[in-house]
Amino acid sequence: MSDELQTPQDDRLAAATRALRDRATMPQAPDSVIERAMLIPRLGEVNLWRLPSALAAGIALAIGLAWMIFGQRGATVAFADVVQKLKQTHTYILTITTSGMPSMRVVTKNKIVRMEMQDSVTISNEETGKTLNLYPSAHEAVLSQLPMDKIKLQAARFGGMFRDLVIGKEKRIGEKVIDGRLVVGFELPMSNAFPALSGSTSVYWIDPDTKLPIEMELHQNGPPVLDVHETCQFDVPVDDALFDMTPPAGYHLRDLTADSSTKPSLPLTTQQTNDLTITPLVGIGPLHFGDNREKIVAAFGEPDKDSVPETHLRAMPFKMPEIHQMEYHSRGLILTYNADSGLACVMCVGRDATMAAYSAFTGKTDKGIGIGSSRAQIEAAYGPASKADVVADQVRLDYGGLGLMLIINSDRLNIISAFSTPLPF
Amino acid sequence: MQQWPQIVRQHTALVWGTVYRLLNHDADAADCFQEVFVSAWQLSRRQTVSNWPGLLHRLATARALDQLRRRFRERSREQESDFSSEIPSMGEAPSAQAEAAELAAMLARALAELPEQQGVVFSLRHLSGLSYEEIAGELAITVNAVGVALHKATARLRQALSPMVTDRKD
Repeated sequence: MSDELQTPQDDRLAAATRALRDRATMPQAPDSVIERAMLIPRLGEVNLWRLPSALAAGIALAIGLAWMIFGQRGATVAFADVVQKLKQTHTYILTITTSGMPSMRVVTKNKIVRMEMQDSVTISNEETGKTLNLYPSAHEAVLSQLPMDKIKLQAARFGGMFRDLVIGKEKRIGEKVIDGRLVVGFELPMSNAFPALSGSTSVYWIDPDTKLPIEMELHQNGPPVLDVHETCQFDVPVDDALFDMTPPAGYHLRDLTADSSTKPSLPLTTQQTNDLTITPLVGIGPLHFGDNREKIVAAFGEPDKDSVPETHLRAMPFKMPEIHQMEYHSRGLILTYNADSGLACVMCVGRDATMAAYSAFTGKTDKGIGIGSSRAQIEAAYGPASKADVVADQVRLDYGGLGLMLIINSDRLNIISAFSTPLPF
Repeated sequence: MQQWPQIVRQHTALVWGTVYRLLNHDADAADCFQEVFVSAWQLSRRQTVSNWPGLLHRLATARALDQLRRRFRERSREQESDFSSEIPSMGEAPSAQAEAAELAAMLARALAELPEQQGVVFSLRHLSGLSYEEIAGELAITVNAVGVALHKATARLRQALSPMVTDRKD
């Protein structure tokens, strides 16, 4: 018996099916019946139909049509019930598979989100803003304080898929069977938490019994083509240890919350504050690419943090020798230098660009582009990018010849990286 | 196209076995056998048939279920649906055989009460052993639609057979 018949009650159905399939009393077709069938082309169909049978066939057709109309209504579930049920859930586990990318698991319990990726784990508390990143291969843990607006955005992206569904925009798209369950599909416009996916749709496959989704799909409208498929489990027991913000034994902890809170950045002088212009391939303000650490300190003071970043934290698009990262949290500025070649990269960030609690960079480029500028403004200033990558609501514009790399989130420039040399793309 | 007599001869066992299994009645099976080949003949005049066994399998199942529906409706009018008359007499047959015959009759009746497509899909899958893909090809529907129809049919048949379980326990 096939996999459709498995429950104890189906033992009866399985036995009945076997009995019907194996009915033993099955005599051969009488010769007269076979001969009559062979004569069909010569006699014509009408001779073989007796009126009562034809009448009965008509009646059967009418009744069959009635069954088709009234008997196949299928599983019923109201979308409003789904929305209501989702709002009552406390935990959910998503397994997200995106074409061409490793799969990811998201576990949430109330206001805490745990994201398990191929080489790292992130635990974020939506209420406190604290985030712990674990890097198992390096045995490193990074504790940081996210700005609350970034935390809320992140929560909206994962939680909003379930919490912010709007009744009235759904379209029922049919049924299918998933893991032996008959589910009902609803198609909806993509959540507002993903502006770059405007026009795309998401499909929720609902189990009529639980009134909860068991699968989700993202149907993207136009490039880039992302085949996103998510399986969902709700209110399953979730171990509290999964949300523990204490790094596992043997992990080295980098506490960025302590860095930014215990050692506030020195204020800039008036002259320096007014001179934060980024000039591609030249430098920032009074600093030129190639300047050494002493010149950097003379211009901006001692950094909040000066470290050799771990490999997985480097943002460089090309391999460099021993590099140092000077972080100025209150200025939204990260300067990368090397003992031999001096200042190599200036990275300027918005408030929700990084894990640590940075203030937004207030300077501009030589063409007036700053944190918060739109893509249209950037392209009006610098023309089309030499390369543009779009992933979800993030756009990366590279101006290779100018050594500029710009990251835009939700159509607001969030990171400006200016390099000492043209980029190889 | 093959010669018609050859087609009939080649597929007689398939068609007869399929209709008889469901109808369990000589005269009804003979009528149904004719209806199947008439339908097949009509269809072959309108389009090329590339898979005669598949077509005849589908037609035989659908026509037999039609015939069962007619039978149950007529009998329900005549005798308020005493379905025990569907159960062949087993004489001194062991109880297991009697139970199997009873179950087969119950299932045949339940199949006849299903919407047409569900009944055909269930029969093709579980009585004739066709794969989802083969059923989808025969019925010109998607594999997903086969799965949905099968799921619904199974749920309805499960429900249809469950009162019997209760009765027997009592």
